Amino acid sequence: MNPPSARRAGLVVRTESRRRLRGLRDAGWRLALLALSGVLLLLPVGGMAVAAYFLGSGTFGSPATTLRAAGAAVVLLAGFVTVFVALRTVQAGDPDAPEAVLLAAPVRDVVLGLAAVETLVVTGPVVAVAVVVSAAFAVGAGSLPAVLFASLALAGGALAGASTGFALGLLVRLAIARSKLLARYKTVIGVALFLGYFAVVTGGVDLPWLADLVVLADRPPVAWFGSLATLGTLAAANAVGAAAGAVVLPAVAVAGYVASVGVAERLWFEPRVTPTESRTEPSGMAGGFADRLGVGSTGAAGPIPPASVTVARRSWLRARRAPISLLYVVYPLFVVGGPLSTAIRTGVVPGWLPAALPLYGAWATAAAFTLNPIGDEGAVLPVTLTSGVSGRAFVLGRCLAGAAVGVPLTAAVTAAAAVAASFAPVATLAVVVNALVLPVAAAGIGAAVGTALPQFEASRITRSRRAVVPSLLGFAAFSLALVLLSVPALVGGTPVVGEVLESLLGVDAAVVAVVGVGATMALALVGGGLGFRYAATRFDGYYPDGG
Amino acid sequence: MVTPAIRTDGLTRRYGDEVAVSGLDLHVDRGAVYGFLGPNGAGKTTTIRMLTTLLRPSGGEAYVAGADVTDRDAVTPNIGYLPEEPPLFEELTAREQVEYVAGLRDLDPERAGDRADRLFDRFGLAADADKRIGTYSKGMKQKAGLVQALVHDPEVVFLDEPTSGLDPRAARTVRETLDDLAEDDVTVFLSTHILPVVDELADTVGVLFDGSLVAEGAPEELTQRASGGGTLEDAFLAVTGGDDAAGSGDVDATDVGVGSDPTSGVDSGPEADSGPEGDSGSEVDSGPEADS
Repeated sequence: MNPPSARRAGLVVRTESRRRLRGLRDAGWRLALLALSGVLLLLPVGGMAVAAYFLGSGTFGSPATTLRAAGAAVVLLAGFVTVFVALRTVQAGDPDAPEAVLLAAPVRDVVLGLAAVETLVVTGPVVAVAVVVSAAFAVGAGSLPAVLFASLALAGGALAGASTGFALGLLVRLAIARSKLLARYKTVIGVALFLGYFAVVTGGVDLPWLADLVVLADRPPVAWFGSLATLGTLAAANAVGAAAGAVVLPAVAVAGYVASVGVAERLWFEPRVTPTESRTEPSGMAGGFADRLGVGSTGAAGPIPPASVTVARRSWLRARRAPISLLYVVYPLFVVGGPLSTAIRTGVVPGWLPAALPLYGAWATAAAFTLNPIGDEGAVLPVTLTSGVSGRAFVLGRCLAGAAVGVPLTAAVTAAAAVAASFAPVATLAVVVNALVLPVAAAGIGAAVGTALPQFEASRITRSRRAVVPSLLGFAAFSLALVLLSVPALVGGTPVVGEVLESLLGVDAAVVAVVGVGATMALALVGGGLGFRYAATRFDGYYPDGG
Repeated sequence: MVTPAIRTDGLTRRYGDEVAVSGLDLHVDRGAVYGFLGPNGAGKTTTIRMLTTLLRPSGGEAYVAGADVTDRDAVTPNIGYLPEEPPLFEELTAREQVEYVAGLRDLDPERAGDRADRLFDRFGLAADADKRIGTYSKGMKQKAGLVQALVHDPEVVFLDEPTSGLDPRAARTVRETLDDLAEDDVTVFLSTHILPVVDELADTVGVLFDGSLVAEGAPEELTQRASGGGTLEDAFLAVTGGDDAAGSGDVDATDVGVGSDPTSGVDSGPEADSGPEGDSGSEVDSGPEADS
């Protein structure tokens, strides 16, 4: 293989970076989410810096322990970056506009450019953190070289991980491109990968092999990385081992790159298996949804108009075929991901969670299907508006699509959380009833906001996918409304508040919960009803071109 | 002997058990405009993707601008390609896009810039060249894609529906540009469904049907060979199995076959309606891009 051109790869990096920055600027909500993630990361980074300081100062144990910990840190970082980059590459590992790029530059340059962008995107923040942690280690150790060598070792680990992750990601894409089975179930695989991504991001993964890693830290190559990171700081650091570490990490990065080029040649220039959708879809989510409503594919269920069932079925079908377009619904989970994964792993549920779950369930139920009912119709909107479907039937269909899944799921998860949190029976009943009512009401409120603030422009939801998502203003207005009307239930349903009121006013905590939930339900039902009515009227009088 | 711009011998592409392109033999002279016709799913895009090195052939040989299509580095500097969906980045301006591709092609920035400016000017895109492509209409994207395909002054240009989405004035500009390219000895491989464009520009027309070349010749030759002297559309319909509009059935498909080979008439074998892009309701291997 000829050596790659650094100039061309650099051009790919510059252009890709420019595109991504512009895409990020265009999608304000992604930028806001990124900023929020940055803020949330400050805490663990601070913790790592403190740990590194004490490690450097020898507070944690002998120099041998520090050496082991440094080696293990490099390997852990490399592993984390490998998984992260691999997941991103599986999601979007092909060049955009391939006919332009692949005909203008050799594959080796394109691969190097794309891998470098991924490396920068993922390892940029990681290396920044590594420098902070290394500096804390150096301060603790009272040794300046520690900053240099610890940063070098961590950056090398990140680079090796990024390169390996890129190759692994392309390999998974190749497997999906070649295997009919994998291609057919790639949505399921995607969900599994997303959960993996979620677990990695929120740190909710058990790492039983950490103990093994510490044992391995005494042996090469992990010991080499430890020596590299602590060279000039610890007398126990082996110069030869450090040199070996300094060779191995770039070598792994180069090997990952070479493998990526080989896989890309097979992936980008060969046809892919594309499973076709069957013509009839009697089963699956759409059919299942209709079954839940007790109707056939064309029939009505009691008071539910057939048109509503049709709208709901179509909404389901679209969601099933492009689940990634609803990705934004799970983003709030990143905020509570830490406590949630801790609760799942340890079985200890914090008291506030059962009261908060109906709020998230209601938010997600509405955000998925009713927060942009008009804009989500896209190019089909003129057809829908002139089809004769009434606003009531249309909005009802959208609400049903969300509620059919949102209500039972929210209620079940809330009930389980309340039981696990040892809520009193009355308090459990209160939060479960709230979980049954709030998503339904939220659907109506969301429809009102969505029809008032329709969003037609597609936004970039991932690097390679664009989709029409509700407007940022719509998200904000709806979220605010939902939070405000949930305040009584959140306050009353939180045990600490109940206990305080019980001691102050002599009112039973369960009564406080019931009153809080009752107040929220009353507000929600009124708001949901009015919202539904407004949305239906708005749809009936809607003109795509204004007027 | 002058090396042809495009030569294929038995070029074949299979997708699993399906044959998308079957034993294709082409010979396109330098500076010629070759009109490549065929119904949807005939294998046109698959053929173009093989000739542009974007798809590996399953069999046979193909040479573009004298280079083997399996040697991508040798072929790509000499070709330009505009697929049906112009490959553009919506976040960039047209100028940034063209500069990017010119940079990847190692072109001198100044010369590439001058040429891009001339092409922008020619296609009426100069005033909008610094606007983001995401704000462009379909026709403007098509023009930007054309500039991108021509900026490096290629020897052979592959164009898949280049006038798609263009208003009549812009379509006329494209046709004139193709004419100019041919005069400059640039070979144009043109795939389109707009038959009058082919009739006007093409020196030779090839009709692909079910992966096989079923007719080839000058436009007037093809129409003459069609009994009754119909139009190119009549000839096209005759060789691709549609006879309703082909002059009340007075066009004999065997009259417009490839050259004088009596065996190369319409292939109405068992695979005639089961191209790789056809929806059979089951899983099939398909190319990265459906034929248009």
